[in-house]
Amino acid sequence: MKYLFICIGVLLAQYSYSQSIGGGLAGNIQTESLGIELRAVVPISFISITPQIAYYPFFNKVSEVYAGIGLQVPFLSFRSSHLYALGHVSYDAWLNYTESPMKDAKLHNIAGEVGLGIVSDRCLNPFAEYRYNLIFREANIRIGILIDLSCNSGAGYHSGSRSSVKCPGK
Amino acid sequence: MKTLQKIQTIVAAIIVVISFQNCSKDRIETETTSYESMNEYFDSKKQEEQEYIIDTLGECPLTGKLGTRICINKSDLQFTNGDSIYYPYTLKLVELYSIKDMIYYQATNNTSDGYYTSKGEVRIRTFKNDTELQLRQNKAIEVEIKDSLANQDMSVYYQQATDPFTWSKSTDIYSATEYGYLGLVSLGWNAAGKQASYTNQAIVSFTSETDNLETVEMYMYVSSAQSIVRINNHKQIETPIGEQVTFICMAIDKQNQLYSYTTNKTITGDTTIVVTLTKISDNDLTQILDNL
Repeated sequence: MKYLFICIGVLLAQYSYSQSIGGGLAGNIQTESLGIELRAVVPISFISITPQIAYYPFFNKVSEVYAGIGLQVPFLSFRSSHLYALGHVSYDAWLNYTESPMKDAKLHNIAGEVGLGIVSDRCLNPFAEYRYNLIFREANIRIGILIDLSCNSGAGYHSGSRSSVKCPGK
Repeated sequence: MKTLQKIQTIVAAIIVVISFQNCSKDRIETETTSYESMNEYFDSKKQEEQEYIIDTLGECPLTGKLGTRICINKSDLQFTNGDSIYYPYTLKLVELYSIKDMIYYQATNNTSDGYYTSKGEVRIRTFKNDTELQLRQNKAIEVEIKDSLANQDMSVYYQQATDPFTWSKSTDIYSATEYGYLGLVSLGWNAAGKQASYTNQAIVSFTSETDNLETVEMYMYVSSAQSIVRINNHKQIETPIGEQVTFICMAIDKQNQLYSYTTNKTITGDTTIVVTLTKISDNDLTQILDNL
């Protein structure tokens, strides 16, 4: 057991992130809805806290606003990207809940999501996430781009794997 | 470490697959009730197949329980290899005269291009021990369908497909007699009837906010033609304009609770019927079918 913890510690120690902000598109497969999202990534040790807000506009079958906070835990790194597991808790304002056939639909909801994501480890970092909403039992796809704030001194794009990146200010 | 990474990747993939399979569209789609197959229920209610041992003492015609008369010349029967048969042999007969029995046997009046008016459906099979026999080439059996009101010749319909049960009109004729309709037909399913044809038809569509119609048995009964038609696509059917029709939907759940929806309409144009099944007792459902 001791060696297992050592292995996990060694594995996680390779992740060291910078603060990022970004946004992208959010797609809910079950409600056939498309939205936009904004997020920040705040690293704390090897994990990251991710405040997020997502809006599914009025033209969707389900129009709603999510505002919450997530947790990302990296678990697999390859080349200049890494996979992470995520958990997310948010307030959900379901704006057109009156149009839903769901019996207990309501405006104010608390949503919990778990999922997986992949993000590159450079200065402009595309990401993609698969998330499962535990409350509504819906799958979400998120794609977007994060800007590594530690790269804003003009150094431009990183290259190579995260471990070899020399970002200014790091 | 590579092994650990592989395990992590596999676990992650499994989680994604499992979660996706458990997704729900509850927020945009009405949750409808699905039902079980009604085959078992229909089988418990359908006409029993009658069995007759035909020997040297057998008389012609043999009369079934519901009045169908049958005459078979033993020398017209053969094994599949052409060998002759010897007494005794077994004749098995199913008679369907009422709409209810046609529904229970799932032998409704559907044809490949519509439906027909049925005066009676019979299935006649012959066996020597457990081997099914066939008719020799160019031979037929004599069948008389019982109908005291017979006043015009009918066509002979044969079974064209089994699932769903579909009939096909042949060139053979059932001639009107004082007893009913007399014809020379083949073994297997046959019926006396005439094609129901209407110049003006409308599309009747079906929808439901409460029930998964794919799991519901749906029928149309056309009063003037006395035709019972199974709505095989569970969605829509061509219906004669100006005719009185009855739509009957029925289903059964896992606890063997029966459900039904019935509506009578005179169709004036394309229309949509919203189906909502409600619980019904076996006796009440039987009564509805008896009244068709």
